[in-house]
Amino acid sequence: MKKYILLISLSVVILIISSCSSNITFTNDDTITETKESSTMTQSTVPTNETSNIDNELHPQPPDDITWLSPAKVYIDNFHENGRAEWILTVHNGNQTAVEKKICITEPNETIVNIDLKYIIYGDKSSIKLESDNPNDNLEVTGIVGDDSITVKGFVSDQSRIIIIEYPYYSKYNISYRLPDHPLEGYVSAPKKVQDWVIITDSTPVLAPLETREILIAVEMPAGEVIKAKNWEFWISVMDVTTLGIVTTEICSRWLVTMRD
Amino acid sequence: MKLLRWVDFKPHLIVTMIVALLFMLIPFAIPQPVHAATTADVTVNATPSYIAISCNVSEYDFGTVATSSTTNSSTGYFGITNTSTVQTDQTISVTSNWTGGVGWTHAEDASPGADTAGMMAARSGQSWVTVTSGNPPYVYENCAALTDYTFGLSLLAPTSYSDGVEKSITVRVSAAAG
Repeated sequence: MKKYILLISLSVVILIISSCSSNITFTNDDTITETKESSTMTQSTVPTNETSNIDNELHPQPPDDITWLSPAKVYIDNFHENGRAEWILTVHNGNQTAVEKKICITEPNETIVNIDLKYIIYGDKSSIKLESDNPNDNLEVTGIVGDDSITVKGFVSDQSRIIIIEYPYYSKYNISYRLPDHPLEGYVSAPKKVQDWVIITDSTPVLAPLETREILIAVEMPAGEVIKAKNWEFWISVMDVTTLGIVTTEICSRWLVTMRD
Repeated sequence: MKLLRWVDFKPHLIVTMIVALLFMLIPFAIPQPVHAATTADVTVNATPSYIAISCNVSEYDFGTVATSSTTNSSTGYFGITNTSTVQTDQTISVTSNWTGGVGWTHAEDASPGADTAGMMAARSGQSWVTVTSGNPPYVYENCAALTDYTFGLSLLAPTSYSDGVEKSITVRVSAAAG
């Protein structure tokens, strides 16, 4: 008798596992069908390579050395309380190499110097180029200390020079929710509470030179919440916070939400 | 009294262990989504497109400015390279007040005062607009895809200063699809 009970239990377990697996398969198939049928991209999970190809055909991607985001606009329709919508925001880092100019004065008997750099170095010491205006120097990077410092040998002691250091570096980005400067016609700025509903899976990515990163953005409207406006809008802002100057640039993706009737 | 031997236990033990093992495998057998997907009746779609702008100038020095003076860069000084593949609306704003020593307050209406400075901007060939921190004005509305442009900045110096320490401020150009 016990043997039969155990065998029945085993069968039930196998059935549970097989039914769960088939549900997941169905969801994936459904998503692929939506993508193929739509002239734009429609997404409920992570985009496939297939959608990326569509992307390239319609709008040629900017050159590699340009920082960009995609897509420019995301439309959410039939949104409602307890609903969730998500999309992948793609961010490309067009930054490659930094160039720093430094004045370096060596003490008597000093031929090896540690130099701090502004950014996090990408790659190994062979990727760092050095140039000195002192013809007596024979500079060579012997090592990287921490993330943003190098050890250089070959200085002539007790002399001064200007050195130029060129190196590939990581760029830090800040990805954040924000209200639109000017909403599109027919839309209003999202209510303040929407800020708490937007999820950015990686809001401070650090990107290698020419790296492209996919970041999931989701908006979840809690149960019981109400938004009176039929159409509302928020932006997802992408800013390179590594290279700052008097003028900074910000690129934004518009998220345009239409509520269910 | 009947003594149970190992051989009596063995078949049951094996089956029990298999069942236990299968239960342990359930979490691995069911794919665990990293996140919940879009709700079934909500649709999300996007037109493939890219937003990309950069500024070719990282520094600008207005020099020593007199009280109540106005100092302009040329409207061709700051270049924006626009590689966006769609039409964009681009705004200009400041991100904070002026810093350095006794900081200056940024005047949202570009009216200078004591330790209060204004700033204006103009795209080449266009009229000057007041640069604000909130509700920023367009520096280029309906900028066509792949269209570069230049702009200038104007500093309206305070009517009086508390100190002569160098001040700085950050100007932001933002681009979003139009």
